[in-house]
Amino acid sequence: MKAAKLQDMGTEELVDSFVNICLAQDEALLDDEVVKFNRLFDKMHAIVEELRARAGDQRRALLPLYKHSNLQVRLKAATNTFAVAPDEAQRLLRMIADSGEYPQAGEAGMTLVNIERGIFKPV
Amino acid sequence: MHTDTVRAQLHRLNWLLRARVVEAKLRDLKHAVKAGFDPNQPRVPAGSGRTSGQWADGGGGSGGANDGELSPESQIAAPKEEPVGDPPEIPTERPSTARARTRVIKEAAKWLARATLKQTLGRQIGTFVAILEATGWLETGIHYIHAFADPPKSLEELQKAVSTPAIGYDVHHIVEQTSAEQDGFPRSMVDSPENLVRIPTLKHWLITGWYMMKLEAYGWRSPRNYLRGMSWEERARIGRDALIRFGVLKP
Repeated sequence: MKAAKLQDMGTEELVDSFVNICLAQDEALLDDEVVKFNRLFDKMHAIVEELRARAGDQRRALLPLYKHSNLQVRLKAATNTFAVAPDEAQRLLRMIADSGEYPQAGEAGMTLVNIERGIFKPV
Repeated sequence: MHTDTVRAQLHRLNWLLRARVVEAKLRDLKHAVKAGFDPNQPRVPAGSGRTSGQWADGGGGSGGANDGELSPESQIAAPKEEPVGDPPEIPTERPSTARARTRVIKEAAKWLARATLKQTLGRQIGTFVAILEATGWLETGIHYIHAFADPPKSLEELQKAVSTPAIGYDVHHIVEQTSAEQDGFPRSMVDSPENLVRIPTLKHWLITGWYMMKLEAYGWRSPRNYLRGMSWEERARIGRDALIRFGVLKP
């Protein structure tokens, strides 16, 4: 996804794209399509960076996704809003880690481990 | 046993399971009505993955929960425990592609493991297992499904099991073998008994996939890339943590 195009998009459009990418990631995970997942991850990263760069740090626009019906969307929303809502993000990540719903539970658990160890410093 | 008899029993088991699901839903509905059920509450639209058709927590709409105001913290929902949900449909006929068959096995394994973990669906679990065992095309797949529901074990148990191969299980390297070798660690370390554990095959696939996935927590890189050039101890620490977080190793 080209940066210039992302800059032209409204915040709500970016959030919609974030959701659609996460849903596609979920499908890729079900079929063990890691290359596809990583391609989608790069697109998601670009969206998160665009939101972060906007006035007031618009990653906050991802917070309502904590209520999304899809677990992958909730996982990525929590991970990518940790810097702006650490307590809430940590609570949601803990719940996903304890859910037994893999692979999201494993990723959430490892994200928390990395935060505790200082490997992951959300900014 | 005659094929027609098996098929008839399979249909009956499937019917029984569906009946119990309906029974549970009616019970939930009764409780919901008592608790102030709102018939206009939106449902998760089809195409939303495994939660399609379930009640949404409000919001709804095409994009999920992001409709309306994008106000900050006030919109954060209190996290709710993940529901186990209904068991996946097990097709009586063998799916035509390997990918479709693997998906059925993985979905069945995930549901059975979650239901076992939550220990709230005893009767459904029993019926579901009976359906799996009566589904002829699953063949050895049933072993992979059962293995996935194994509870976490001690490191000693996992290491000792390496000498006993079994269908549904793989030998897993705690420190990933290929990247360790590429970084100059000798094969004697990579294949040492301390580095080998026997784990459920489907968990082995999940953990291997996780090592390859780009993740925020490793600086937008994969754990495998993050670990390049790292010490054996750091690799082993992350390898053990992954086994714990993916429900294989006791904390």
